[in-house]
Amino acid sequence: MKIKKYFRVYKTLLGLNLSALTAYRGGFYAMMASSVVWGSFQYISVLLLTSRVKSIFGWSRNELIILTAAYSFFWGIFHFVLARNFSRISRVIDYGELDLILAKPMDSQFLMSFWMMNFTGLFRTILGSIILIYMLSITHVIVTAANVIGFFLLGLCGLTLIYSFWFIMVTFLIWYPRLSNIIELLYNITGITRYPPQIIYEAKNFVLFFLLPLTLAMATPTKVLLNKVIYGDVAWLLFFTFIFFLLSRWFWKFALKFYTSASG
Amino acid sequence: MAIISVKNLSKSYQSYKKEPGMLGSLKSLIKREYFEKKAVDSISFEIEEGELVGFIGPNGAGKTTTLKCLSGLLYPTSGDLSVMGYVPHNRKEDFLKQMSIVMGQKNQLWWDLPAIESYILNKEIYEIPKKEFERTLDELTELLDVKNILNVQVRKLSLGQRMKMELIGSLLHRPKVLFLDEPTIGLDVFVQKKLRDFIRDYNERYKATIILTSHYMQDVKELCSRVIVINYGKLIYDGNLKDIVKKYSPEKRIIIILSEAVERERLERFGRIEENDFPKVVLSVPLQDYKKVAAKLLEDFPVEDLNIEDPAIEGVIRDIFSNEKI
Amino acid sequence: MRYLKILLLHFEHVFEQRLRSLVWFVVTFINPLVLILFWRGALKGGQEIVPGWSITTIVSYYFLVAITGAFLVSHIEEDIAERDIQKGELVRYLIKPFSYYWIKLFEEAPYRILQGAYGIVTLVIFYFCFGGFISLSKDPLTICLAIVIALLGAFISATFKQTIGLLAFWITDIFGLYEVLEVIHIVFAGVVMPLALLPSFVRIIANILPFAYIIYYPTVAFIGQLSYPELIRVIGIQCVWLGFMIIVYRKVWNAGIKKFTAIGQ
Repeated sequence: MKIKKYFRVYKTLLGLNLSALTAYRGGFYAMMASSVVWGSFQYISVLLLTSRVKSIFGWSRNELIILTAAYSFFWGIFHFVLARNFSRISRVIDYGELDLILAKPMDSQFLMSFWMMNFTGLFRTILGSIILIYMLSITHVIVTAANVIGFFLLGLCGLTLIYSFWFIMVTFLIWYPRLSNIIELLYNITGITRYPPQIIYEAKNFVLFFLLPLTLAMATPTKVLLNKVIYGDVAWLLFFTFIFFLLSRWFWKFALKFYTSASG
Repeated sequence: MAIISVKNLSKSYQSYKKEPGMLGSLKSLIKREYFEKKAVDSISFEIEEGELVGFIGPNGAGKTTTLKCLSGLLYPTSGDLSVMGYVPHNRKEDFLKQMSIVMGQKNQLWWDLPAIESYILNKEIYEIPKKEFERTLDELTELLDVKNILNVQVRKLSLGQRMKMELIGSLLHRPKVLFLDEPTIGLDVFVQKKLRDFIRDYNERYKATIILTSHYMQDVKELCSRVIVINYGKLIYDGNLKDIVKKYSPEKRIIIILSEAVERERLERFGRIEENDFPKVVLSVPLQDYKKVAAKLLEDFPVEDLNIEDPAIEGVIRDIFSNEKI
Repeated sequence: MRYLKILLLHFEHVFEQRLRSLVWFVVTFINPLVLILFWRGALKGGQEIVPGWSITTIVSYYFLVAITGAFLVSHIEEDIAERDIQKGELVRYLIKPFSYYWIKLFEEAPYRILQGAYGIVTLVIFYFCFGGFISLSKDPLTICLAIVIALLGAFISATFKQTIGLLAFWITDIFGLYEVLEVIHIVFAGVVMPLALLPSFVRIIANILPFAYIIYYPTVAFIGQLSYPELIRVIGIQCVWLGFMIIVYRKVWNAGIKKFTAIGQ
């Protein structure tokens, strides 16, 4: 019963976002430029970095490119469904518009997370899939249906993990509404998921260890696709996703108690 | 059984002092002096179903904070709240489906789309059945006369039109309890009047319980028979608007237009001078004397025109706030 | 003297936002940090990829890139485009008898200085904790010349960004341009990889563009990779770039002001 309502609301939101797309052309070009520029940059980056090294932590150059493509594929979905909402969250909290969201008979985390869509994100996903297919074919990797399904499911899992981490960080804005640039920080931190997890593990640095769960987000689905996965990784990914998601929900509800909207 | 019941509601905020200038900024790095600001200080009242109550008070008095506690947006520091039998800050879905809060400057409608699209979204969020939705939409757009702008992008509407559409958006689910926070702020007098008529009609037609805060005394005068006066977070008065004037300011205002200037001292003998801007002079005179004073003014001074009014409620309220003793 | 007042005023403002500024600092720091970890994985054998670039050099390099990135790179273009030109705040500056170029410079200086302060603090902490990994030049003359190179780099960045900001006189949807410039900057200034390690055709382009003179050359100067003649050479090229940028700025400013005051805001 409840699920049906949330689906219907999401369907309606999709419709509104589509209508808004045609209505507001200006922002669209900026978002498209952003998607194209950064989407392409990630490949340029990995190509440059691997021009000198042929392998790192057991990942060959081609595998690193595949990892980047996988990241790009899922990151496009993140941009499509979620990204705009995070920039909106800081405005909503700072200007007190959260009031109107809290007054609605729906889960506020849901409304905050899914309200807006960025259709240009699909560019990254399409680019990612093209490069994935190309790379898989030239490296002659045999990919079964099980690999692909595992890739998708674990990738969505990884996205959920990343989303939960983002939401936890953004919840801090309730206490520090001026720190809206924390979103930029999150973009950069999430960039770590383009690299093999060992780079964090090898650093053996206590401060960086909290990033370890994140590094599994994209690397594990990629390994599933390439048939190189260790099942321990999968278990850890599922575990962390579960924990972080619950934590994000609990922390958000906790933070709302301290929400004092602007303009008393 | 009152539909809204408030017992000893208090809400405090923590704030810190910062001294101005470079030194102050550096100081605040090392030591911050926190102090507690009591936005609402032990307020109690009860409201029956179908009442239209006005909250009045100066800026920062605690009106909006009280409203936000009642609508569940803020967690009270202490006190017991009950709205339609629910505890507001638990924000139960059934509670939220039956209440609505409208805040003057805050918009829920999508900027680039016609209002109707946002309404359809609300329909899904509030789970309003199709037939009911269409009927309510019809009635509300009829009452506010906005049928022709339903399909116009919200960004293209004037401020007044936008406010009307926002109001409709908040009422599509026929809330039993409605909180209006400065709904007419920034609007021109015609739209203000239209909105007032609408609120009155809505209250009568749907028997909705409405709490209204406003800076415009006209809103309160026209709509609310009962007012609650709040200042410095405390409830100062709870009762009829007319009685406030009788109770706190048993006076009449005499407005005269002079054809020739008269010295201030001569006018002062007749009453308290509120305004002295030639040719217009406004005097406040005690209730028992006003007729005699009016007659004397006409006799002794070159008066072109004379008018007698009840004291402005604004002035009375202002006095209450500045005196603070009841 | 009056410019000093502007500086102090903005200093206070920036100080209020120190947390926000700290977040920006961390933002500039993350990518170089990740890349340090990447190279540590790639150079496990302790080998050198290119002569002169050991793991210590790489770590020092990226560390300094993070600091120079935070310290020297100007971000005033958004302020100019959004606030001054699009919202019309420019009029306030025009009626004052000060040069817009210098006012904007002094407005931004506190932010850059604060970021630089964060950078120095981080460097000191890092030096004490992981001293073995950072190696900077210990030669006083090199350091002095490196400081000159850094300052010139900052001016080049500021002038360039101010000119870019002024393009808002003609381009309304300017943010797409900023994204493109950002990526070009990241690649050709040596933020992704030191120029010495880039494929040769990329390196050639990077040396023709000005971006490397804002980040790469100040960084390698401090690491001590440049000899005295090379340091002088870099300073010379920077002066040429700065001169060129100033000329372009003037032209853009004059054309833009004509348009701005003709149409009004």
